[in-house]
Amino acid sequence: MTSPIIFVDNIHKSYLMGKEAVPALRGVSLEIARGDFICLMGPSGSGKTTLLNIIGGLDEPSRGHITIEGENLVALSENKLATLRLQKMGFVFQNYNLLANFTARENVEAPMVLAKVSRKERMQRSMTLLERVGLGDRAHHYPGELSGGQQQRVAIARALANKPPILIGDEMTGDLDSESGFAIMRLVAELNAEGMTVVFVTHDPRMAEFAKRLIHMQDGKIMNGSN
Amino acid sequence: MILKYVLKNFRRRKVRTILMVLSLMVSMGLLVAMSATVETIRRSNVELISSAIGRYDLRIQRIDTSPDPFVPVSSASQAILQADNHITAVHPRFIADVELNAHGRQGNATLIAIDPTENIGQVEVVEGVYELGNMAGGASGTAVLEQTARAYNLQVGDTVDVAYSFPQPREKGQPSPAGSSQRRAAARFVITGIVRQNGVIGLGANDGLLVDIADAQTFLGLPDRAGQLIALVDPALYEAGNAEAAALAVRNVAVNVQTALGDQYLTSAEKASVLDQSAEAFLVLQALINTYGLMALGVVGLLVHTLVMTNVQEQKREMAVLRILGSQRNLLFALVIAEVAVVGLLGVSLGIVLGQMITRYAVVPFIQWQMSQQGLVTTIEPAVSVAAMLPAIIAAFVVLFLSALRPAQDAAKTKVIHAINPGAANNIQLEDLESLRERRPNTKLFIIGLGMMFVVLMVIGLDIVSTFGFPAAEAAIFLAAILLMVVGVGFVFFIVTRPMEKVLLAVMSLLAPRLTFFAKRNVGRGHARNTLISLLVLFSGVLPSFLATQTAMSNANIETDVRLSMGAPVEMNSFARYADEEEVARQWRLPPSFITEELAAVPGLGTAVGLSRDYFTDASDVIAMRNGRVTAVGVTGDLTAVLYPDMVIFTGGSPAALAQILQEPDTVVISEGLAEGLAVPLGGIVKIRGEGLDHVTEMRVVGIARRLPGFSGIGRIRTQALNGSTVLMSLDSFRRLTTPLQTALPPLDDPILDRILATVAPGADVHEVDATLRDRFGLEDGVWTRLADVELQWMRDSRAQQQIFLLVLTLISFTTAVFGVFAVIYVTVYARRMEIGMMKAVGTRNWELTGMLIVESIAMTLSAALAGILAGATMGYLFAYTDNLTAQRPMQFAIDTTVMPFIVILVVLASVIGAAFSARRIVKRKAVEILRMG
Repeated sequence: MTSPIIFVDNIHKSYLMGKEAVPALRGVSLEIARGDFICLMGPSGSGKTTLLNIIGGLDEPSRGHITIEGENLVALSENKLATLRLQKMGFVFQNYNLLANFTARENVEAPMVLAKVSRKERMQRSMTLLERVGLGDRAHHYPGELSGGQQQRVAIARALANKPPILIGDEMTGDLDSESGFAIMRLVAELNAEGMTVVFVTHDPRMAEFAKRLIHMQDGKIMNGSN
Repeated sequence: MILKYVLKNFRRRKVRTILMVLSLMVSMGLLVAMSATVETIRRSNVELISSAIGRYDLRIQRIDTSPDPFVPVSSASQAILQADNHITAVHPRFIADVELNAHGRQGNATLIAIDPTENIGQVEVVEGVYELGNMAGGASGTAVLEQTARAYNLQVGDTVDVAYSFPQPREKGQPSPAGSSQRRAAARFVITGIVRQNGVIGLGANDGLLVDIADAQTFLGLPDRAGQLIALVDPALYEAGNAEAAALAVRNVAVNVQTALGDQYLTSAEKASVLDQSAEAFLVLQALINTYGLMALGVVGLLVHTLVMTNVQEQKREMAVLRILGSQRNLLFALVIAEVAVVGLLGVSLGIVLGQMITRYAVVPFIQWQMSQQGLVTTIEPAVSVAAMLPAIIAAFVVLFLSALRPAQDAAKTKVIHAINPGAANNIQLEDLESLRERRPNTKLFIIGLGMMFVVLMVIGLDIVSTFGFPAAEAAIFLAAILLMVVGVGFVFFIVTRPMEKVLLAVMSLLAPRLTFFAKRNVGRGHARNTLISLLVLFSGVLPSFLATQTAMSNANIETDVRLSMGAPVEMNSFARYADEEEVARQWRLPPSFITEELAAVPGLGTAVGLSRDYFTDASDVIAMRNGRVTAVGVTGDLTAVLYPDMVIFTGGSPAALAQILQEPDTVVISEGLAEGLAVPLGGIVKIRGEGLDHVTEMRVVGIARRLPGFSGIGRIRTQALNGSTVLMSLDSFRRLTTPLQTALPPLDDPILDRILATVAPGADVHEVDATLRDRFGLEDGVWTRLADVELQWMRDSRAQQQIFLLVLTLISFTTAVFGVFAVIYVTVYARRMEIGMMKAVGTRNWELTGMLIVESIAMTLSAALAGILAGATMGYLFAYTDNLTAQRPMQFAIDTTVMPFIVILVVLASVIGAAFSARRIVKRKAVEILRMG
């Protein structure tokens, strides 16, 4: 087996509710190989979103280690974590989180601007990506002028803007109807087939079927697979 | 329950609540301080007038046709005190011109005999002591005013002899008898001190000697008699709503006194009279300050509206739950109103305290400093009366209520679906059907109609108030006009905010391209809030920039204005110019020999040219087809020798015509307006009507002037010219014109001059020349002197004070705008937290996020401030140009360099601090925390 792109080692995470610490993750360990397509499932409060956030560098574990392509996330400063997210992660959220005042293409351009990609390349790449997600003709539309499915496709195009090796999806299809949801998942599967590592969370077993590996979580622990 | 809910809300939204309370507190504080400033300025105005005229309110004396010119002190005082219960004290005085003999020099001075216990005004001792009355050895003490002491070279311990000529009673309808012998009384006084007075009598009376009235009564042989009585009224009378009302209240007291004393007495109220005259100017100041105050409150209103509206939007779900639980719409409405009411109570109370502190520790010391700059020594008590605060409090609550109305209505309209399915809440629900079917009055059309009618309403309103003379309404209309102008100009110039934003963003993109990429889109495409911020800043910028531009223009043109109004470096006006009656004026006119003898002896004074009195008559063309009113003026010499040459413009002939009129009889220089009005060319004839029957003189036009400095009656406007244009001629021609045909000409040295224009000799000290002219001719000959250089210095100093006043008003106006900007940015950042969370998630660093928000905020506010400045400045230039065009003054262009940069600095600071503070609260959190906030 090749070295894992994501290595999660005995991660604990607790949240403080008043004075009381409430555990969200209790010693989770996980190895994710390059090109893997992983779905995290579990009931509410099982810790799947917390684990996804920690993998995505959006949150930090209370204890334990996590490495992305050999880089220890716990040791990284806030700024370095931001750079890592910019270069190595693409995020897709349940409620799309597109910039309302930006057109579809400008939304895709945004991460490239942050990554100091030249204007010419930004324009080219953003159009290519929008065409890739089937929205080439919607490039100059604002999010408010797009359907939920279309907005989520723009979000996926934006996630791919800086060619990250990992795609993180949090309930990507949660706000979509079945047809749009399936279309999104097919797109993600295609990306995975092209070598992208995908980790996503869903409540919907039909969407989970797209994953190569299904991880069930409960009470902050992985129930099927390495813990 | 409502209060509990409101307090819980405050706890949940601490920053917003603090912002609302703080902004209200500051604006209320400033408004209270401003109201108190109006009040204090009004009082200081009374103080100023008191200082200039004397710190008493009424002066009672016998009429000059009364057989007994002196007032019986005891009986008259009693009658006065009983005449009106507002009179608090009555004191006897002798104020009279006396002959003064000291050190062998004889001259005139004012005898000021007062009751040493009266305690009116202040006496400042320059030398010796201030002690009047009997001294050891039986001599009587006097305090000599500084100017007299200097003129007679008097020292403490010297004696002065005073001689008083008793007035001759005048027969009713007859002039004073001339040449009859007058009874005289004399006395000797020992000088105890050399003093200055402030408010004992008028400011101008600094030439004289103060004595005890008992001594005056003794040496005049008039026990229990006085030349006049002065009365003080209750100071509360001056605390009426405005200067006019105060003046009228004092007049009522004077009328009561006059009625009680009868027609042998004359009661005058000079202080009230001057106060009355100043009322109009005061009205303008009051309206200006009120405009600033209302704008500040308006900004707070917008701020409260924005914050409360945001609260309501965020609480929709909760309110929907309350509705599900059975709460009425009224309760939801009341919740919002109560929230704003509590904020209002807190903010207003704290604001009142702040306002009092500002007044006590900033406003009053500032006014006192200003007055001391004018040489007025007085103590002003800060006027933070309930009356001064009440309008501000009422205005604050009205503004708060209006700003809360819409959010409260919005809250009341909360549908239950907001709790069940917020996404579908905007769709039409069953409960909307009723209101959909109902046909309601169209308020929008009503407001548009009212707006369109406003100009007409104002014109009608102005007509009505000027007919009935209601000053408060005049002030209200003036205020409305200023507000309308600010709002109107603001709206007009709002159009330039977008191009300016683009320019600013283009500049910023050169410095921070990545930050500007995001800011550009948000600034350009965010609608409601961006518009709100822009308008807040724009409106705040218009009025200060307007006033600053006018001040800058007026500062830049001080020299031009002074030179144009005076005409020459030295201008001397005889008191005759200000006399109401020809009889009085004649006594003060100067003979031509005054120039050749008296003025020629003044060291440092150059050439002088005398100008005759104005002779108002008619002029026409040869056949009297066209005619107009003219003012004939004779000149003693060549005006080109004294007038500022660069300001002289001739359109027909040349300035040499001013010399030509002296050499050729019956030649004149007329104005361009008159030449056009009468259609008389250069070399043509104008017929001027002279004094007496059949007296018409044909005069040849040798020069047509468009502008002559010092002569406002020379101009190019035809309509003005036909109503009183100046016609210049030689003094000989003037004498012939003003003497009836069959009458012998008056002697050559007959007093005929009213005005003298002169130059200062090269190298002479202007201040010395000024002092010499005043000392030699001021009192004795009744000549009022102005030197252009001295005048300029004084005006520049006074403008510097105006500038400070303007900066304070700008600071007031922008302090609330800053709060507005701060609050709106805060709300905007909060509303965009999901976007910020997402940006953070995809890898944006904290400083980049903060930077983006700062760039956005600067672009929006700075462009609005620049638009406001542009709007205000444009209006300022328009007013200044129109004003100068009408007055036919040359004008120099100027740009304000204090207030406008101040506005820019304030706005940029507010944007940076507002954006950085607001961003920090969100940006410092982790991306997931921010995303969870949604």
